[in-house]
Amino acid sequence: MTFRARKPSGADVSGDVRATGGLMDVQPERANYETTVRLRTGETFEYSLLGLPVPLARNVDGGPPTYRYPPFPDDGQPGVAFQQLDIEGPLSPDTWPPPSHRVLFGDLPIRKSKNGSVLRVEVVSENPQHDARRLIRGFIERAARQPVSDETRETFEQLILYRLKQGATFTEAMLAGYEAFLCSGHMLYLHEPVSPQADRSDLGTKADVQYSIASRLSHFLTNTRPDPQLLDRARNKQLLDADILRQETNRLIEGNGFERFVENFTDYWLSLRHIHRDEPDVRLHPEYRFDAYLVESMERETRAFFTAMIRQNYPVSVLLDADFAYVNDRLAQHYQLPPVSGSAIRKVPLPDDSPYGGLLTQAAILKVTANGTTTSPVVRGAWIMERLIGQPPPPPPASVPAVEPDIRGAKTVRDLLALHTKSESCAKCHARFDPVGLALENFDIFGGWRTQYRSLAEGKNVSGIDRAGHNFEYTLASAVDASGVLRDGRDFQNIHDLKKLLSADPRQSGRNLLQQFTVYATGTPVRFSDRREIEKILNTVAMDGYRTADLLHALIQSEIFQGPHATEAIP
Amino acid sequence: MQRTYDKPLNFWSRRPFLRGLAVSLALPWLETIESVSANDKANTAEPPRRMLLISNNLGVLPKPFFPQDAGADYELSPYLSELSALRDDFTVISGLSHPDVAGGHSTENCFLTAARGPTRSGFRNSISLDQFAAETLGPVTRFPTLNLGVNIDKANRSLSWTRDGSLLPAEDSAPSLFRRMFVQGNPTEVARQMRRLDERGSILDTLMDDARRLETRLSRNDRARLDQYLTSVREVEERLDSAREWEQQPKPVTDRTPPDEITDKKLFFEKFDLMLSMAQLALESDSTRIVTLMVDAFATPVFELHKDQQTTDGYHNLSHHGQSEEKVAQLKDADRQQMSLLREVLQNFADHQHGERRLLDSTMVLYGSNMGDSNTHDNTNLPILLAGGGFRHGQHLAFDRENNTPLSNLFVSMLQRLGVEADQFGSGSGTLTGLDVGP
Repeated sequence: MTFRARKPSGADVSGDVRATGGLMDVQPERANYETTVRLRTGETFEYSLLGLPVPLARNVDGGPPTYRYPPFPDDGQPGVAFQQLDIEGPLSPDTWPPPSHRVLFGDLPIRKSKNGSVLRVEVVSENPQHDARRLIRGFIERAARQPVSDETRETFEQLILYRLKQGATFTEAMLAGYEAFLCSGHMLYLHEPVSPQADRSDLGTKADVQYSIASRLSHFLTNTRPDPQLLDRARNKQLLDADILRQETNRLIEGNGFERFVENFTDYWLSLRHIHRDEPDVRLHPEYRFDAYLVESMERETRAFFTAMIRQNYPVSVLLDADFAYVNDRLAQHYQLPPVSGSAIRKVPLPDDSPYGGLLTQAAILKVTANGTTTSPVVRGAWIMERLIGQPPPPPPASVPAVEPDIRGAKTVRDLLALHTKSESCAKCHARFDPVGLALENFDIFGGWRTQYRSLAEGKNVSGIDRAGHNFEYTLASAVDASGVLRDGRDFQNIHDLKKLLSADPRQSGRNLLQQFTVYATGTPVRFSDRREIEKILNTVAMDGYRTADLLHALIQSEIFQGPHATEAIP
Repeated sequence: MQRTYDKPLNFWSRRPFLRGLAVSLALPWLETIESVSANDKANTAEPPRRMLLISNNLGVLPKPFFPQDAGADYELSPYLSELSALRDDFTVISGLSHPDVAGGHSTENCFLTAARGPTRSGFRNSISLDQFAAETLGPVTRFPTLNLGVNIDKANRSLSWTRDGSLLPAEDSAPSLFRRMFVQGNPTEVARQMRRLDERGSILDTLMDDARRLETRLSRNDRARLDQYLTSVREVEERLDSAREWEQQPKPVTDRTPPDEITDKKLFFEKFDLMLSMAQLALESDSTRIVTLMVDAFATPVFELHKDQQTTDGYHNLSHHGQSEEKVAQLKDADRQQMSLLREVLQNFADHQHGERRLLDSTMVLYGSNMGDSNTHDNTNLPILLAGGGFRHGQHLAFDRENNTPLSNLFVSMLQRLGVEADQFGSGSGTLTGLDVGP
């Protein structure tokens, strides 16, 4: 059973609580569990149970609270007994002053500010001019992505000295200097790798190319400036050496900062930043009521899967199909797999007949391509073609109205889509993406497997008490038909067939992933003139079956990433 | 359909609040007008013109909003019947949209900018109506504009955008807005703030020096990029100068106690009501002459429709009603309540006399949305209502529903009425036909 600490989000907001602190996976053995919850003055916290039914508490006629549950399964629900709860605090920080303070003020003594300062504490300097020079130099060395000239450094020194002369305290003057440097072009602009010939300025010298590559690499894989080791490599002009660049790339991939890449890249490429966008329509999908744990688990699954694609160097075919999945207790249940225990995401093999496996059928992907109430093969199909296959649909003609959503059950989605085929101008484009969407119709708004659509109007009635103790009632309407024909004429009966058809072209999957990496790493989409280079990269990784980390390395070693100078002889 | 307000203790109920307002603010308002007219020579006789621009990013149900027939004798639609007492003080306009601004919800940030192609890669927003107007009017008030929000996702949505397409975050906290408008710092605080502004000035000088040195070493391409940077530094400098001047001016006086914060997104109407009150307070105290208010229905979860009734779905899910009768009924209810809040604002402006004229006659109030029909993500035939400002109202201006007229034409009319000499804005190349200035 999994618990998580949470606390109210605001003093006057009843019932709105936010997750905080860590998870507790309570196992059958007796044990102590510990979480750290950061509380401000007056804040409270509580623990919530994840992934299991929660009762609806009601006070009937002002009486004592009664709790309403859905019917228990035959073998009962798990339970847990707590013996005691110890609370310890306030917790003292590991070091004082914290490291962030030391970066700014070193070991200078601290005292309470005198009246008139916006700061509550200040540092004391016996020799302000000397300390100011020393501190700003250290700060700039740490913050800049490449060496900064003495002249530039002096500009910021002068500001600090001027503020001191104007009567600012030492602390205020230093902060003004730091603020100025962080707002300056040295911080706000990234230097792109360029060839010395193309740029007559001194930014294109060999040393600068080294720093530009270091910076591009670290911003790509860790979302931040180069670390000291990478800067060292640049200073020693080692980054055009293929082996060293590969070592450095691997170091960043294995490091902690890589999580930032995974998070940001999947946020945009796979729209994971929209994972919480649509709340499920609980009339049609009562089983998903208040199941934030499921949504959060699916998000973690996709990020864990993508991390493994690179760190385990999986072939890109796993974008579309795989015989394994990354699940926790809730997802195993969601995917109808043998139960696993605990909230931690781990790799499990999939049975042969499972429709899951591969990004294409992950719950997170199926959720961000639905709207909380219904699924649209058009929206899903177009999204999959653009993001996972790399064949974005052309923009729709301006005059076409959207198919008006109608959930009264009068028409099936397939009927609506059939209207497309009547008009030739519609049919030409829709043939590119509707079929893929149709094959995914067996997956509901959260990616759960379904064989029949649900409705509120016609069909067999289903009713009961949902996981949060509310009554529900919906109908089972028409059966799902997930068959279709691809544009090239190949037909499929279901998702299994479609996965086979799509994964037959790993080169296209590789090309797509390269394009996604390129735009993220360089800020520029793959241009026509890059095509030759892209195919060259694909050739180098083809032998080993288009593996993800191989693709990443090959891109980083290419002209697309390093700029045209890479072809020059290395001195 | 009437709302009851039964929580007077933890938020400002409009009614007591406005009663207080009439007493406490009438005098300071006149005082500010006097002091303003000294440095506002163009407008010595006329009261200054103001505008309040409101958008709900999920819009309203189109059918009950738009009247059936056009012209001055039109019959009020179900929604507009909420405003029947003010019939001659507003114009409802159909057949307007922003050309080439499509793509469902992505258009929400373009409502006041008309920037084309919000879904295109590399899209960049352009200057919004309020900022454009403020640029021309100059720093005549403490705040060139105020940009307010209800339930707003501040990081991603705003009605207000700078010339280079940066988002200006909305203020969604009434108490903090109140502090900025009315609470006078003591001399120590003012001195501290002046020192802080002075420090910013020094930082900007340094940045200019540093950037100029960088400039001599750059290629032509990079120089253009740096030029954008220098321009924005200069703009910050200008704003700083104005802030320095205002820091030393006394703030208007009010005897109102500061409003309480409402953070609960469920209390959608209470928040909307409170922000409308703050907008009025800002305009009436001449803290600013331009206010935008983005009602972020998209970010509004399940909310309280009535005291003991919550919606079945979040606002966004409701808006995709798919003709479900249950959802449509809730939307209608919510829409009507918003029309009724709008009526109260207009009525207050109408009741507020300034000399011969009503405050409403010098204050334009725009209510609209970037969504023509949220159910289908349609961005044409936007619901638009303009009240006050001295136009000849009392009509339904109906433009072609198949071939829409640019909404920016209305913006040009409004700009001119505000005293901004502009003959184009956004995609508008002239004023809106049929909307004339009244007597």
